[in-house]
Amino acid sequence: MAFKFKGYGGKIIRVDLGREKTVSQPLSSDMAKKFLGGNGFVTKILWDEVKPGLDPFDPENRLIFAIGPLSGTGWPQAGRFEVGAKSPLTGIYGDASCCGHWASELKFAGYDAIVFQGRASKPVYLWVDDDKVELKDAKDVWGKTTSETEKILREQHGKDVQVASCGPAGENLVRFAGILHQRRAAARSGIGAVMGSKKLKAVAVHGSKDVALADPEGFYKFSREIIELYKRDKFIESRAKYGTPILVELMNEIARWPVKNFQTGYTPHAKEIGGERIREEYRIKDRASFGCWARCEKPLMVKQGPYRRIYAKQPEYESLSALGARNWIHNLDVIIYANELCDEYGMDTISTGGTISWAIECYEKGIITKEDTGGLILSWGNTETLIELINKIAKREGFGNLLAEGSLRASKKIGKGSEKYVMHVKGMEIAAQDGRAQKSMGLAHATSSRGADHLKAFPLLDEVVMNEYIVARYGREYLPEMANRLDIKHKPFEVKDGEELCALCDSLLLCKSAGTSLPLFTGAVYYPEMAKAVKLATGMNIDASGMRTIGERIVNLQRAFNIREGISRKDDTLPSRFTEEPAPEGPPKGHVVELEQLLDEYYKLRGWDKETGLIPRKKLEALDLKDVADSLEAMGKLPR
Amino acid sequence: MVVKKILYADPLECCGCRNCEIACSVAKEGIMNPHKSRIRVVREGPVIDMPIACRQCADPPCAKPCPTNALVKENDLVVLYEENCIGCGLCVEECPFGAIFIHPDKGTAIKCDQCGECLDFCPTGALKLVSTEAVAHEKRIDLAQTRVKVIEEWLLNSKDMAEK
Amino acid sequence: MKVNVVYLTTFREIVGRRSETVELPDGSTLMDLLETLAERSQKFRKELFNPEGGEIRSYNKVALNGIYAEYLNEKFATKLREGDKILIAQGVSGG
Repeated sequence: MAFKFKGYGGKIIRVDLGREKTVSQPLSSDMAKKFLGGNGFVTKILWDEVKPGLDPFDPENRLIFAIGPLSGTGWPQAGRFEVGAKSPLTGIYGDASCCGHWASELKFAGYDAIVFQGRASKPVYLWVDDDKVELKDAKDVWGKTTSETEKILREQHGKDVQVASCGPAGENLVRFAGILHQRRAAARSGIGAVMGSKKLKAVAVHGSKDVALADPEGFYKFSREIIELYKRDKFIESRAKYGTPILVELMNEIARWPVKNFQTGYTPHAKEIGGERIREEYRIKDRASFGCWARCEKPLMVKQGPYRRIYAKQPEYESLSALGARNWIHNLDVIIYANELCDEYGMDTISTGGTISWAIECYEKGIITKEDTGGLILSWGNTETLIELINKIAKREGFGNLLAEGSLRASKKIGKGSEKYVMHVKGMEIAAQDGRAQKSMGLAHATSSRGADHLKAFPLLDEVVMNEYIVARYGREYLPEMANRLDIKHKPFEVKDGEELCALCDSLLLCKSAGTSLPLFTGAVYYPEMAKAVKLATGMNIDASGMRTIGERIVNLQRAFNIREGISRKDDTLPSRFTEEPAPEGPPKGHVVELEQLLDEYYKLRGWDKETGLIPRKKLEALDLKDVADSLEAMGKLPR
Repeated sequence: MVVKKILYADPLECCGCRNCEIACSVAKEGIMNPHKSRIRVVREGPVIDMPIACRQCADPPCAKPCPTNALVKENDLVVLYEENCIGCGLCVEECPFGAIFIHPDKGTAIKCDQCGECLDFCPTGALKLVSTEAVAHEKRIDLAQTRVKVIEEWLLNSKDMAEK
Repeated sequence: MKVNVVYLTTFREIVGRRSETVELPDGSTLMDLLETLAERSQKFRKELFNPEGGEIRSYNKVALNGIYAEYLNEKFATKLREGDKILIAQGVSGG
């Protein structure tokens, strides 16, 4: 049946790599209405097509690239694309998103998603040029780094082609390999390794079609109103000036900055690697993705020393933590180079740095020895070892082969109590937020559908006391506790609400850092605004509460996928370092994450079973997911 | 007197967001399609982002081969008479900047008419519609400032020498 | 009495240094400190305070020994003590 809404490309590409077949089929109007796009599509397709228990490296795993109805329209901050698969790092739902110019290009070519299945007999890449869709031999790019791959494919197909590729790490099945595009990364969940396992090197896209809208005049009038907000906004101004590294010193001052594998949350050295210093001494200019106003990417120059050269981007806040402070490294030149290496190999900096810092702590405690490391001496602050380990992980050489499995799997092989120092949830290394210093982040890590991650709930209203937004969004009765990052009151509500908002952002492919999760000072891009933009673009009549329901539906279907893989309350947990070891210094001194209390209330708000964390039929049916309830029931996975 | 203006952006100030392309396509066509924009942003290497649009040449090479006189130099603009254009593409071949394009549906030429719609959508303020004289003036000041640095350093150093 | 002031974000650019020790009369409050600093630079004042009335712009954050002013019992009227550490920043967040 033909697709009936505007705004979308209206088609998806299905690629069977094993049979070397590509087909383009109409997008389902029903799927668009229920899941919007992006991670909504990813979640729905994974639920429908990936059987429980499947090895993520099995050819039957799916790798899904998806965009949304606002992609390519020019709506501000809507330049992202989403990639999803069953994750080889966590064994559950996996996804990641990335900004740049790939998403808009796919829309110009007239598509909303590309779904890969099977495994190619030899390395291939997909070439999409409007209606032409071809699998091509990847012998010229296999083994190449991500920037080399983009360069070669752009020379071959034209300079206005947009390329997303996996690097050598993905080819080598490093379990936290990502997918890169113009130095931006869809990094988490190991989706790059799924791409490598399918012998798919890249997806190159060129498009030249109109993005037809339901009410173009109304849409662009409204988009201009929102752009006027962005132009005047203080948060956008700060993002534009510094990007995410501006958070380093600020988070260090509230002792939320992971140091030495989360042993503490504060270091006197943060100023050496913070955004203020990068801007003053390294930044060359700003770069931005399609239709972006925040332009947080900053090409840099290292002016002297062994790492002297121009770099395409600054390490993000997360990477400064994972590759820097977490390993007690405060040499900015080295972190910039290490970040560059991770991008070239195509590896998630958070998991790379997280895994290395776990290994250093185990070495410090005598659990890992020279015998395990093949002679390498691991120690805090050792810059040469950091670079060597990144190289070894990407190539799966020696000790790197063990670390390429991720910290949880590596600790299971090492044993000897090393498990205690793995800073993970569900197998995913924890991002740069010490939950003891911000309780909402602790809960967010525990409940995130892709394992430890801040971006699935992105609770920011308590990060630096945002009273005005709390009043505007929820009401005065939530103050003062919700704004207090050390008080657990209202935090489960903040996380639940954030998860729905973030799921919606990821289905519309909006940047969470600019206007939604992080509210604008001058105005709002919230449910009513998103509903209005979608209506003007697509003609779909979904109101603000309908948008919220879509967010909740996506969260619940991701949970259902994870339940089907065996996840329950016992997995919504945090390392004992966060729940038993009190924070040693700074404002959170003496605090732990009161996780069980937080979880009890979170499940209650979610309408999930408190004992098991399973979803009752009633909840699923209310979200129009009856078929999901039926199949969970058949597996005995509904709460009794 | 001809006050020639050009759409001008420093590649180190342009962030490559393509908001100018969006603004142009929407203003001229009512929808977004990068192939219908009269301004195009080129991104190369780690630091170069460059918006390119017609420079309204005084002696426009695009107009010379035009067999139907669709391109005419009028005052300070190169004006395109769409009704005369037959879509042969000779102008595209001749433009040294790649700043004239063929409309993907109509098959005829499209080019920047300096309506200025894009200027308001440049987040960094890199994009300017300025007279060539203003551009040159800025360059002269830049040059002088570089000299200031060099000479100040030289003077300071020679003072140090005197003290020693 | 002497207190230590740390400037983050755009305030560091305005002041031109990361931190400094500021000498204040005994019994000074947090607001007295901010006023003292604002006296030195119009740009600093403009960035920190609302143009109307003397309130701190809501997106700016001031913390005393790691606690944001909103959570101090006396808020900006809190009396400072020798050796206190005061943080002045734009309330950027998002990570």
